[in-house]
Amino acid sequence: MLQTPTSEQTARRRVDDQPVVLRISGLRTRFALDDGVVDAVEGVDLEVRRGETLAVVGESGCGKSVMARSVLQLVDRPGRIVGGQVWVPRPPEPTAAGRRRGWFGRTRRPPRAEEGPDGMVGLVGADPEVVRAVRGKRISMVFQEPMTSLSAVHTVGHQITEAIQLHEPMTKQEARERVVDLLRKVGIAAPEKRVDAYPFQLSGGMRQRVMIAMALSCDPELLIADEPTTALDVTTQAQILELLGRLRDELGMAIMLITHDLGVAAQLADSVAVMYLGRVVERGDLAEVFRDPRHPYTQALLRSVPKLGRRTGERLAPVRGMVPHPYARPSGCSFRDRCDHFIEGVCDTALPPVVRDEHGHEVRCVLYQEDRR
Amino acid sequence: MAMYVVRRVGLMLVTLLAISIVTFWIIQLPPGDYVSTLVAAAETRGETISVERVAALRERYGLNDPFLVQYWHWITNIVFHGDFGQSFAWNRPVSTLIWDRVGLSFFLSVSTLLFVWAVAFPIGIYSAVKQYSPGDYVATFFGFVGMAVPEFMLALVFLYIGVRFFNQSAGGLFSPEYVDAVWNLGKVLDLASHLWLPILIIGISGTAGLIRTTRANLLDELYKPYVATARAKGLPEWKLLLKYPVRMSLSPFFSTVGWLLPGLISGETIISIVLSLPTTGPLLFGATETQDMYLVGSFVLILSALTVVGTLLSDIALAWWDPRIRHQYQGG
Repeated sequence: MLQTPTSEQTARRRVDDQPVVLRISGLRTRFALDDGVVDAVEGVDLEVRRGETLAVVGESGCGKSVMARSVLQLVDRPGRIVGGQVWVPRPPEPTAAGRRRGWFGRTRRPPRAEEGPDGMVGLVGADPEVVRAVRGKRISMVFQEPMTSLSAVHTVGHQITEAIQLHEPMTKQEARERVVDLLRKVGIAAPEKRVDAYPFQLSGGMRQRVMIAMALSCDPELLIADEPTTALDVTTQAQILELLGRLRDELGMAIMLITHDLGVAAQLADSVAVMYLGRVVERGDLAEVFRDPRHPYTQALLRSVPKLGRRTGERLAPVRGMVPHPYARPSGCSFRDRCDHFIEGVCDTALPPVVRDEHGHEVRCVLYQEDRR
Repeated sequence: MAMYVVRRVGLMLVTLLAISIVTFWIIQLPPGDYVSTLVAAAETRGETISVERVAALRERYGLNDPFLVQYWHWITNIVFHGDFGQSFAWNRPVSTLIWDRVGLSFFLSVSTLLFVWAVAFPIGIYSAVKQYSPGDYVATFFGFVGMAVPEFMLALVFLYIGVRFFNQSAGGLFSPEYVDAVWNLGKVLDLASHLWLPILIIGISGTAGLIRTTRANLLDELYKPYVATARAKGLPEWKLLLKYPVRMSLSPFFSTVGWLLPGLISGETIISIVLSLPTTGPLLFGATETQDMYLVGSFVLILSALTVVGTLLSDIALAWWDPRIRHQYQGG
């Protein structure tokens, strides 16, 4: 079901003047496989401001998960970030105690990372120390599979305590109390007992709550939630989304929500980025994009979702055709062979430019190019 | 957990009883007995043993009794008196014969084990983490070579090299001048200089196998979501590696670790024969040749008992290591 957010909701959350917590520019992540090269992310530009919830939506295989993992440099081999940069506010210097001395007590050179505008640093190509200072502390992540995302042989308390003690100077006892608080905050009953439970003793929904507690344990500025509700049943899904929304408002953090489910996006997000084959094809305010979708792909996606109040007997329109094989993506606009507005000699020759209107609604499509109208 | 162990020990006793019967039955299966081996040996020397003497010997060793009676004597003596019977060929109690050799077998096995673990785990982990790197290919190459080349072949090659190029015999435990000497520092050093070779030879195939297993088990774990979760917390890479995937990948290892127990006294038969080491292996081998039935029977029984105990220890170790298993046991 797709609920159109009310104007009141969006008006409440104006974030344009807030500082940027994440800026992705020209990010490219490539998988060099034995029988071909897959460009999972092909030049993504995105920005998340403090307190904002950005939903990244798209079909399976459009590169949204890889993009999310690329932010924290978590792409496993054979994937590799081959271009672009991920800018974040400079993380605090590791404390004297937390900083390891080099061999023979030599003081080590300060960790290296690309300097950017507004006191930001680039994570791509940065020293592991810088990346680790951001992971879990500034930006944390919740993954899709609550069943396998926790280690089965450590208690949940231990796993969250570990995250806290990595970033905060706390004793085990203090950290444990904080874990109990966190577990209570994410809605786990009897947290004093559950803290010593193993993940296999908890249900899927509970595990996802534990994952969220772990992600929030160091008060991050940004939470990246990669399909956080996909593996859960619908009731649990709604509870988890509600929880995320509540915690966001309480803690003032930003969320980047990766989902293939437009309903989930509508429930939580302020703004939305639609991805298709590794590129962002449309981006803007959520209400704006859902009311007035511009890119043919976004239009097709929205047509494929059931709505309340539609005439009975009306058929849903699926997006025409299939997602092209990743080894053989179309030249020019990658959506052209599924597009109803395909213009020969234009769409297949060059990548369409990004067209931006006065409200900041961006679309990558030649239909909106000024000189073509 | 206690309930579980009690039940397992009960089952273990039943298993051992069955094993002892089967063992005793099997060692009597081949035609002839120890006395006929004696007669044959005498004949090859050109002597004869009179029919009365053969009958007397059979009577004395109780070889004419029915199977069950013989078995009953054997097993009750073991259980109630710790007496494994008399070795016909050595004319000494089986237990002293074995005990004399257990020390060296044990020492050899433990040193080999430590050698194998110390070498194989780091290489296996490296090989998995740096999959398809030049280092991994080198480790893989030597892994397959080590698994494929038989140990006795290696032993022979080392013996040849020792004699041909270093004018030193690699076999035995001591150099000739120390064999009958009393224990002193020189003798200990001499022992050490002889022992590293069997440890290396026995260890090579074990190392190669364990490198492959460690690598495969770790590769199964390395890209699981919980590893990404740990990484996303900001854990340093090596710490994360040891704490999460390596720990998980050791579960299969723990489930077989108990099988090492019988290996401690089985004494690497073939290598010991080739390198003429006085471990238990050659003793067992010789005993089967001469149909020295109490020696063989006791040996097989001890090895089986250790296997069964080892399996139990393995299961307990696994429960200690892996909470998922532990909680299953608590259920029943």
